[in-house]
Amino acid sequence: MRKTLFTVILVMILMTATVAMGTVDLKGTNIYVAIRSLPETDFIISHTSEFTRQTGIKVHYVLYPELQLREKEVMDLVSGQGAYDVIALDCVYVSEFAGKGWLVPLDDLLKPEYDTEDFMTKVLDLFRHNGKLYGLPVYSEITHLMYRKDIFKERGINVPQTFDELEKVAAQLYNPPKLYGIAMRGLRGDGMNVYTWASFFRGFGGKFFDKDWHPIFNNEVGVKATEYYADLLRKYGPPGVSSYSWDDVQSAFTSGITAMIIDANNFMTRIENPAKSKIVGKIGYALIPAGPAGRFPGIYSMGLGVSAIGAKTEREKLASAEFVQWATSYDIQLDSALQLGVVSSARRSVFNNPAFIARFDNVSYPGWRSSTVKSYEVAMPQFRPLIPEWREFGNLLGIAIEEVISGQKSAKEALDWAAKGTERIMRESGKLK
Amino acid sequence: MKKQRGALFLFLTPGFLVMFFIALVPFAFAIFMSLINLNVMYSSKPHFVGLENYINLFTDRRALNAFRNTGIFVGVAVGIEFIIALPMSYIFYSTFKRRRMRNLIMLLIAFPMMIPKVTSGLLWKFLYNPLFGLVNYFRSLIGMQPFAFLSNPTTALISIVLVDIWQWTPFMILILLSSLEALPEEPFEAATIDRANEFQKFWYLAVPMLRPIFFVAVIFRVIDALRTFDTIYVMTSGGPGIATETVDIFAYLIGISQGGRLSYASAASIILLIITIIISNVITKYLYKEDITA
Repeated sequence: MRKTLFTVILVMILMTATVAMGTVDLKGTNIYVAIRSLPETDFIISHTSEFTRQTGIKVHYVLYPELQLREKEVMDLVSGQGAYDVIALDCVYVSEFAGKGWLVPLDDLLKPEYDTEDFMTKVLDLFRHNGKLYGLPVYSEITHLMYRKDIFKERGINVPQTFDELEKVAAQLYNPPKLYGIAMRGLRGDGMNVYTWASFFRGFGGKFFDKDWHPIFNNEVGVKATEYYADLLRKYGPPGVSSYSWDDVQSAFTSGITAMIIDANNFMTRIENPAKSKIVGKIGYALIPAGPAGRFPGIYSMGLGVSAIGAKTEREKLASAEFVQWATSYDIQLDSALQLGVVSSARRSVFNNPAFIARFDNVSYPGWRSSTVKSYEVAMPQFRPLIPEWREFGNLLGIAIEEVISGQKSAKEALDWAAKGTERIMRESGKLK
Repeated sequence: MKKQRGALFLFLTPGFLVMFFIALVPFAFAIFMSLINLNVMYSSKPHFVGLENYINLFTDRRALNAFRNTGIFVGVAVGIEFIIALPMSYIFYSTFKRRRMRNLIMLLIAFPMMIPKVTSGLLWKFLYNPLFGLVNYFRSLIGMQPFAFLSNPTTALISIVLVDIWQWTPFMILILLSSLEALPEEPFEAATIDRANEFQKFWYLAVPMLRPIFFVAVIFRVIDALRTFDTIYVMTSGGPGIATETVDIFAYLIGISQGGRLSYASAASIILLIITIIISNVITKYLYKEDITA
């Protein structure tokens, strides 16, 4: 009898505890968010009072410029200080941060009604490491081809579908100094020229490593892809294209002197802005051309993750996850798209929303929405290797590519040098024995 | 005597302690760092490698290129600045005799120096822009094709050197001009009576009398130019390729911004420091010492 009573009481205690666990009261929890200013994040910040009203969680933002954000975050994580509970997370850092145990896996923290399936699969994959999800996308982009629809129509040119056609069209339209054939990023950097170069590298069937982590991007295919990319820009690009950042690509296009560019889909908001562009209404959008091995648009995303160093207690973890879910929710992403005109959401439901479709319709922005959605489908998240070593050897590659475009070195010579450096990096990191 | 020595210690200790902590400790730490193989990107345990980092630097084409670029940058920039500033300062000195006028001129020539390096770098980057820049606009007036100065490996470094010359020649002019003002006027008056022309007064009077100041002007500029980071970073961030990477940029990129090779970057910085010390000594010997004996 006594034993039964004891069991009943024990069960009751356990039940209360479980119920309490399920609905931890997060009211009054303070969380700190390290973030950089973008139209998307500014929108989140300005609407935070709604979140606090709903949940009682107080959010404090620490804003850093783009270049400092990573340094500040890494310093905080390495030192174990843990000043930030939520951190802005560049997709190329996920493997590094997660590998070092700096991030909390979100899979078990997400509410059942939060629909991760709604995100473009490839974008969400950018935030996965060893099968676990470490971040949710705030700002996402994909590269596609933007071309001068008016000129194409006038000259009776079709949108290039293959690398060969791309070169042909660029040559056909090249008429300096009035019009240049094509502009893409030339400036060195793992997120700069390598970002657009990789589409061609993969398109030709290039691989970065063999199965033992020996760099092989300097093989025949790599050389061919790099020569193609450099020749395209050297022969048909505007002067100085070897040091073009995305910014320069954009202004070469909006000033009306470049017929085609390949860059991020969200360029649309600026190249279609009459205050900033001379070619409003004259632009067509399409998927990037395919190489022998297929189409590999550049894909990038910046999201929010929960810091394992900062959010130590269960309560902080839950509050942080709550915030991340709210900040990446359908409502926020749709509102920021409709109110600000930002088009960096990775949610299918936003792209399928009637108001969104009406705003970015196919008449004013021919092909933009369909090519964006299609590009997200065909993209390969691993088009650049998502490994911690990427930042270091990606930058060596960037130097090599810029050297080829600016004519200092042959593709073979430059890539060999980058491969040699990469081999050292892989040895130092322990991947290459 | 003993008491005096005690006082001496007392007065020297604070200065020594400050120097010890702000100069010697970080320096010793940098030397220590350069002798291990720390890479903060990967979690492998660092260990002592002796002079390996230094030896590697001498076979690394990127590192050697950085040292070469630093040498060209400092040598050409400071050299040309000095060659321009010396006669300019004398011209200002002899042309504008009235104090007010000279102050106004000083203010005007000091303008470029007052602009932060980041701003002037961006400004010049835009001026050099092949499509929209003023430099290429003037070239187009005489029928020349647009040229991308900063994207061409042979012209990029020299284009940045020109910015440094534009910005920092005024600094040398100011130093030399204020020293000219401090010189006694009698020799110049006597030379005028002897019907010496302006060039003779400049070459036989002003230059020898200014000689000790050369040291100050040149050494200040050399040390400052060795540390030039902002201008280059803003204009080319080391590119095209590695054509404008100086030692500072190189060390920052591989050590902090694009990698974690802190040990290797420390080794590069220490070699730069040693070179700086040697150069300062050489300059001191040739420009400064002569005057003391004269």
